[in-house]
Order: sequence, then C-alpha cells, then structure tokens
Amino acid sequence: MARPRLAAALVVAALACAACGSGDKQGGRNRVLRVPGSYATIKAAVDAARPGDLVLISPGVYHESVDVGRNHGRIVLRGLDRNRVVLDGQNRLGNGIAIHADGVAVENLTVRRYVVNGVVWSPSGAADTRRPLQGWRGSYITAYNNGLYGVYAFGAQHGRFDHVYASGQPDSGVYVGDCDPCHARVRDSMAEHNHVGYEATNASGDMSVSNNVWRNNRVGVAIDSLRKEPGFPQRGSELSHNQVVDNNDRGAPRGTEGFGAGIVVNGGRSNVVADNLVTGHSEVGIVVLDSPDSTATNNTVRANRLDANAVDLALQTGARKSQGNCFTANRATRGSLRSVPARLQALTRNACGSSVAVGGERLRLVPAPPQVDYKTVPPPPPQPSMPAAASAPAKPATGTPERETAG
Amino acid sequence: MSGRALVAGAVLFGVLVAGCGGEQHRQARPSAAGKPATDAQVLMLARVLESDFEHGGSQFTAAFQIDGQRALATGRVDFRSGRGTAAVRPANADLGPERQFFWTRKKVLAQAAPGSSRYKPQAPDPQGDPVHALVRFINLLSAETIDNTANISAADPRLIGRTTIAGAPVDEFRYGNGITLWVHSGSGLLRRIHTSRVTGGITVDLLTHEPVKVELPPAARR
Repeated sequence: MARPRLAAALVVAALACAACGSGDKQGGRNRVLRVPGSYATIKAAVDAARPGDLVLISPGVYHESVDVGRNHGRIVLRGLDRNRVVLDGQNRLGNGIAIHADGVAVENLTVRRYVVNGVVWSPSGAADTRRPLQGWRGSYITAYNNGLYGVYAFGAQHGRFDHVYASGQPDSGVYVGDCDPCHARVRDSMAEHNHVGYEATNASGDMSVSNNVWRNNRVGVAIDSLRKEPGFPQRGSELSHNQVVDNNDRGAPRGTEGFGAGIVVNGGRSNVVADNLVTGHSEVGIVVLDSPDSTATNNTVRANRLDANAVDLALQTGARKSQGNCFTANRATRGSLRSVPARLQALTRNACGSSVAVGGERLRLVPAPPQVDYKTVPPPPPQPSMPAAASAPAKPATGTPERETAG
Repeated sequence: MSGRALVAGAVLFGVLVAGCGGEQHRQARPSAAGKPATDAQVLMLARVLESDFEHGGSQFTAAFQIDGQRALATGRVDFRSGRGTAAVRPANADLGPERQFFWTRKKVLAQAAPGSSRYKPQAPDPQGDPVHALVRFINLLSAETIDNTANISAADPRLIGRTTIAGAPVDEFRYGNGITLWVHSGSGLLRRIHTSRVTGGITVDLLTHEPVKVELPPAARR
C-alpha cells in the first residue's frame, strides 16, 4: 500500500513542479512568467515564453532592448503598473521592444529614451522575402523621448493601438505603415510634443483612426502616399472623431519640415476625414495635397468642425482641378470657413469622385522653428493604467484584434 | 508646405532607393555575400546619416558617369543648409574642361561656361541630368534624425569585410539593392558610399566631417 501512495505523491510533485522555474500556472496551458520574480530580465522571459503566455513585469526600471523573435508569437507582455514599469534605453539602446512575431500584445508599461523606436512591430528579414505580421496590439503604452517613433507598426495586419500616450519623438508619436489591407484601428490615444502626432504612410484599407487626441505637435496627423516606401500608393483610410488641436508646438522636436498643420492628406486616395474637431493651427486645419509621387484623388473631407486656424481647409493639387477630392458639410464653430483656394467647399461639395475646376492659390508657408533636442522634451505626467493588470487574463493579438473592444 | 515637409525619418532608406525611378523597396534582392549585419551593426548604420548632419558638412570627392564617360567631382557640402559646390571634370582631361556647380535644396546653379562668373539656375532634374543625380545623392547623405532600424534590416544589410581607405580601417556593408557603404570602424562615420542604382554608378568619398559654409556666387544670391 505504501508504494502506490508514494508513486502517487511523486506524480503530484512532478505535476506541481511542471510550472517551476517559469512562473505560475494560470489555468490550462498558459503561464504567467514573472519579471523579475522568475526571470531576471524581460528578454529572458520572452525567450522562455510559449504561445498564450503572459510575461508579467513588476515595477522597476529595465535597461534592456527586448527582441521578440518570430518563434515567440502569440504572447502578451504586460506591466503591472503603466507608470512604474519603465523600459529605459538611456539614450544608447536601439529599440525598446522590437516584435517580429505574430499575435504579440504589449500592455501597460512605459518605454523611454531609446535612440530609435519605443515599441515596434515589423516582420523580420529582407523586404522582398517576408510576409506581413498577422496580429498586433499595443494598449496603455506610454512612449516618450525616443529618437524616432513612439509606437510603430510596419508591415503588419490585423492590429490595434489603444490608450497609447506618446510625446517627445522627432518623427511621429504613433505610426502605422505598409499594410494593405491593414485591418487596423487606432483608438483612445494621445500624442503631443512630437513632430507628427499620428502618421500613416502607405497604410491602406480598413484603417480607422478615431477618438484620439493629437495636440501640440508640429503637425497633428499625416496620411502619406510615398513611392519610396512599400505599399505605395496609399488609399482608403478613415480618420474620424478625433480632436486635432494646436499643432504648432515650437517645443516639439522635428524630423524634417512642416509646422502648424492639423490634418494632412499627402498624396493619398479615397480617404475619409470626417467629424473631427480641428482648431488652432497657424498654417492650415485640414489640407489635401499632392505628394512628390502621387496626386491626391477622391478624398472626402466631411462634417469637421474648425476654429481658429489661419486657413481651415485647403486643396493643393497641381492641376487646379479637384481630382475627385471634396469638402462638404464642414463648418466653422465661429465665423466663416477660410479656405485655399477660396470657396473650396462651395466648389467641391457636390463633386465627390468627380473633378471640377478650383483655383490655384497656394498656402502661405510657415517657417519651421529651430530643432529641439528630443531628449530635452519634459516627461509626461502619469497616465491611466489598464484595469486589473494583475489579474486580467492574457489576450494575445490573434484573430481580429482590430474588432475587439479596447480596454 | 511641400509634400516633403511631412516626411520624416526613413532617410537612409531614401538613399537606398535614390535614383531608382520608382522601384519599390520590396523589389530589393538580398545579397548573398558577406554576413548578415548584427543588431549593433544595424544600429550603427542607422546612425551614419544623422552623424553626417551633426558634424555639419564634408569635403568630398565623387566619381560618376556623364554620357558614358567617367567624370570626377571635388567639392564640399553643408549638410545643415543643404548647400554645396563641386568642380566637375571628365576623368579624361582631353574630353573637356572643368566646370563649377553650386546647389541649394531647391536649385542647381551651373557655370554658364568654363571660367565664367555667370551661373544659370536649373530646376532639379535628377532623373535626366547626371550632375543633378549626383547632387541629389549627396543631399541624401545626411539627416536630422536617426534612420529606422526596421527599414535598415529590411534592406538585408551584410558585412562584407574590413578594409582600409587612406590607411584608416573601415567596415564594408552592402545592401541587397545596390548600395555599398564603408564606415569607419572606430567612429562609425560614413567614409565612402556607392550606388549602382544610377546608370554607371556613383561613388562619393567623404573626406572630412566638419562644419562647412558654402557661399553662392553673387549673382545667384538674389
């Protein structure tokens, strides 16, 4: 009788130890890998993670670059406290978190002072041999004073940024690029004191950006169609219900030029800019213009509220034709709309998708203020943490994360 | 505001496709030569153009082709202002005299005739004019920000090996799409760059990394 009991006890002990050394068992097969409790570094935990696992990071300052290789997909990296779990590149490390695997979510932490990007999703390998990442999500991330972008998704489909805060980047705070169709959402986020708040280059198809605040950058929003990057030409994104305010910040670092513009559609096609509040810009509130590579065509600028912009609406195409771009039902919250060319809305409101003559008047250029060292932009105040960070189950960015409810 | 005004970052990436006349990044072909660049090397490559900008400017020499003949240029460029000047001559002196060019970000000023003090402004035409292509290439050799490591990696950078230029050790890197860089092994500064994506190729040697001031010829300042 003793032997079977002993055997049974050994079996139980063996099962109990199955999770030893890699954290806690959390129902089923998915594990919680604790940093620094079970793993000294975030990178070590990521390297041990399997699909479905949660890498749960305790408050502390972590001086590391975390690379999530293609064999570590479908995991979640989560900080227990958004403001006290800090990845700090000390202005010498490259990227904070670089993800090259499908289905990875990053939640509830801060990345600062990396010389390139805060958090980046991009496929690995040479451009002509790789396939787009499938599934990505960044939630409740604070990214500040990084050398290029705050959060960045490039060559990735089916994803979402929500509750992101980004400041002090000399390129954009939030970026999505090279996807068609993107199947992506940007929601409930804020960017300020960057060169551009939100930028999307060659992001096409099912790309929706709504309910965000883009304020106090040099430029609020830029939707670009550029031949030099993959995925050209850009088409078919929607920008709605955003607050785009006071993007004339002389204290923001700059990447190149551009200053005092709210929303810029730079060579894109068939985009919809609707129901946004756009105020306080020293050059222009909303402008649709040709990029060096692409004529802006068939964009609809509709039902936006504008106020206190030097020019509210502008169309800057080379041909003095509307090229299917139309401006309709936009209104000034005070006074009357100012546009370049004049009477832009009257001329194009009934010409969505068709081309009518418009004037060739050009916008007055606003000189870009001098460069500001991004390292000197003041750090942001504490940001709201995600609910129940300690207990919420891990939800890797699989399936269609763009359709899930944020938070 | 120009379209360029809002295009920040991805600058070395711009160099990588300069002169490509519309080819896209995905059309790059990975090079089998050398070893894949490490993360640290990719980061170093991402910094080279930013370093050029931070140092201010450069004295340079260049070799390229005009109408199938080898041409040489000697000049200097102010990366901060985007101004530069170069004396351009055929490698075979029998083929013609030297001619001076100046440029800004918006125009090229071509000496009206060899030895003349008059300069003709020309609208940039990098696709059609080899000197303009050279100017464009030089102008792309600096950036206010670091380049994106994601773009660098996508171009399949490889370390070909270590060699010397003028006695100084350099690491030679090659991208899959016809760009080769030689970077000082210690400082990480760009010493030489070559593109084969322009007819006949362009090679530029940056001889110094220092502040440079370029004054335009008097008649062109207005």
